[in-house]
Amino acid sequence: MSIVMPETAVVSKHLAFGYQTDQEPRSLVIKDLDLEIETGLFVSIMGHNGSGKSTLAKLLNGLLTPSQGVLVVCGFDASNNETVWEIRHHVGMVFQNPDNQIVGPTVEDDVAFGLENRGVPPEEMRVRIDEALQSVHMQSFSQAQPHRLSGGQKQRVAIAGIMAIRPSVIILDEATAMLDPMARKEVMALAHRLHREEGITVINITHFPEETLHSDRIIVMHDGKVVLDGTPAAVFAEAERLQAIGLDVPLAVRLRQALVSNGVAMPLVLEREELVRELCKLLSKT
Amino acid sequence: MNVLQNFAIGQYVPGRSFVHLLDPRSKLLFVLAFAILVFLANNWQTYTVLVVFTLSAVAVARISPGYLVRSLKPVWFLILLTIILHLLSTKGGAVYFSWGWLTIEEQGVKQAVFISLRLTLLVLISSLLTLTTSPLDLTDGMERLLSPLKKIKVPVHEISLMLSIALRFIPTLLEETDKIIKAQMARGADLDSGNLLKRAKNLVPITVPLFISAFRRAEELAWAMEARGYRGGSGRTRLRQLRFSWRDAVAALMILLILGLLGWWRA
Amino acid sequence: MQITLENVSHIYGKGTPFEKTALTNVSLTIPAGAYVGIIGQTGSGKSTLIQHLNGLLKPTSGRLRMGEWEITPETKRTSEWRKRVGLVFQYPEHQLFEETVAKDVAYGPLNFDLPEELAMQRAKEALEIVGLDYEAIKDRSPFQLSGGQMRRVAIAGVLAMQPRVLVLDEPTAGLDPAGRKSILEGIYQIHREQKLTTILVTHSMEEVARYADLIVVMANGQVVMQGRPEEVFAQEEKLRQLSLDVPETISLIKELNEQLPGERQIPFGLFREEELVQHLLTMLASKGAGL
Repeated sequence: MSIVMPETAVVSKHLAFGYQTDQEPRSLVIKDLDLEIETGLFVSIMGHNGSGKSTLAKLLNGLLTPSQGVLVVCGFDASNNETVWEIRHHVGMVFQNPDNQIVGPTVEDDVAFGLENRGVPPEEMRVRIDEALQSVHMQSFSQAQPHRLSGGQKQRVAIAGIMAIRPSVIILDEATAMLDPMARKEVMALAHRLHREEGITVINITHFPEETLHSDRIIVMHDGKVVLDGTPAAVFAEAERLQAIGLDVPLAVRLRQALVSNGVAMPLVLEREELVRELCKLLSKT
Repeated sequence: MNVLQNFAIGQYVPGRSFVHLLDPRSKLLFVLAFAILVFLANNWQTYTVLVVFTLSAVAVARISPGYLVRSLKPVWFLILLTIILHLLSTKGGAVYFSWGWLTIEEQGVKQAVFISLRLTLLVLISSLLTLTTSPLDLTDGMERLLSPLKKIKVPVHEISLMLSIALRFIPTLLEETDKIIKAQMARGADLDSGNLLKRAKNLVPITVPLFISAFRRAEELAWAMEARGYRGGSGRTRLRQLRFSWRDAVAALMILLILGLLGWWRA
Repeated sequence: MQITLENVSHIYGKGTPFEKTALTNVSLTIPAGAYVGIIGQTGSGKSTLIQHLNGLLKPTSGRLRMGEWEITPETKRTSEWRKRVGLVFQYPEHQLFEETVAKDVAYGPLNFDLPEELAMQRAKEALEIVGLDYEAIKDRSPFQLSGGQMRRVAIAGVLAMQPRVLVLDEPTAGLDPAGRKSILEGIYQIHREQKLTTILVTHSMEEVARYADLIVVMANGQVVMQGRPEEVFAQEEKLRQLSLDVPETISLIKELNEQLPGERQIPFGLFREEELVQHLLTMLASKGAGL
């Protein structure tokens, strides 16, 4: 195992994982994965359902133990039963279903949960809960019962619960999949703000291409392996490959692709504004 | 929106009265003490003390009498039965009424009144507890009071966490039940016709999905709790701190006062 | 089948302290054979509305009509109505309960007193419509299937009742792009082949843009806009005020139009991607740009 540099949030070498089953030889969900994620990045992981991306998320937080290979998160070994608790001090995770991750009977109690688990004294808890709720703009809901909140608000509470433990990494495991478009935008804006202002490493697992556009890096998984890895420009340049494995690409990429295949010459665009600019350039030519 | 939405858990009526603001531990202990004291009363004077006390507690709690009367609804039959049994079976003293072998005598009337009063007071005082204490505070108070039992390996922390998660998920599961009922009705399920056996069978399409969903939720919740660093009760701190205040001292004095008065006037 | 709503209002818990108005005087005609998209924010009354459409809820005032049937606050039985209007709830896989896929799909037809043999036949057809291999899947437990397959089985459970009107509440929620697409294409195909009247509730403007002939916009328990997609999408400001989006293609057309001279404005009706691409190609060809 190589020495883990502090600027690396995640390192894996030949990582493999398969669920234990009684009869069949277990099939691997994660196959021979080599990965390095630098601290401070906003990384998106894309893949269709069953591509292994959610399994990877659970491995990153020590919720699952690697079957083979090495996985080091924030400098701690993720296959060791004791060091995983250290990992969980540094890595927070937001799950898909907003309803099934809120433990507390009130918002405040829920944000407190992670702090209680870590033995934080009650006076300090108060301070940290207020800070955390403020950072997700949910201060006014501190006494609310979770079931009265909307899906987007619940996810923000879940993020507050993580912010309260002052993590260095937040993993969003399809945290927007069950939200409506407005709430989805809200949660993504929040993730970007925490990344920008608090310097948190964000790993966003998703299948919405629009959510990945502003990442520093996109990792595309298919069948337990990384098939594409790079900047959004580099990844979406391979639109056909993404579509071939059941993934979508942003509208601008799709339209440009259709135009190019009909003989229009146009450089790669990712966002709508760029496409508008390129189209205007072409249309104003005389 | 759903039909079960208005289902309230417990019967907590939020407020900021003296009784509301008492520490839940005090309230629990108080109800326990009161339940014992009720059995000390055995004459008009002592019962008057208890009645006066209960009524003033209700007044101080500013709970509308309607709520309290409603809390008696499940037990009124029991109270009525107590009255009838004592009227007819307890003998002694002057005979007030007789018809054939039926007689109603002085002691019978007295016992009927006393015993039914005892029952009523007990129900009222414990309703007052649940009316003025949120379920959350109640579980908290119970956990603290029972925490000495940890020494004999009673999983007090786990029980209390279970209760509080149950409180958290009751509304969610009610909503879910409503959704599943509607979904099966949309598939033509007929839930309220036929004999008992048929009706029970008709419930299968509701209960199976409900159980599956509850298990799925439990599994996901377990993941989330572990991810958030939950590893059992040891070393945990709590956000909610219970503190005794002057109010609790007043409550304790009240109990002593009642005890004193009962001891004095008891026959 | 055409469904008409006349001044339909619904108040939950009428006469209790928890009274809440969910629908106010909704009048609406859903033409036979139309594909209608219903959009609106969470809490706008969409789900109350669709529960009226299939007779699960009765209006507290007003009436609904469909063919020879009608539902008013006094209507006792709605089973004839319900038989004809299939409602697929959100996350319908959560309603699966039988030991085998085939039995689960046959549950609806059996409830409407079809003989077992016929119900099974219907189940077979419905499973094939949603693109599942009947022989391979019929005896499997629905709980061992993948998420996307479970969703299909649940939708088949409604299709097996052979409704004339199909109401779907966010049928693609939580699926990945491939899963979303295949479910929607499947529904569109049945819609056309069986000449169903289809009502799709969704948050995705892209889905409405692609399939709907008619859009109904709900807010605060009322129908605030309705019309053909290009009519509704042209009122971008109003939609934004309701916290709703327009399809991204509409935003693109709008941004292009701001840059383009008056005679070359792109019509809002071209919000379907293929049509927009065709139009752009024609425009570019006339300029000789890069072609």
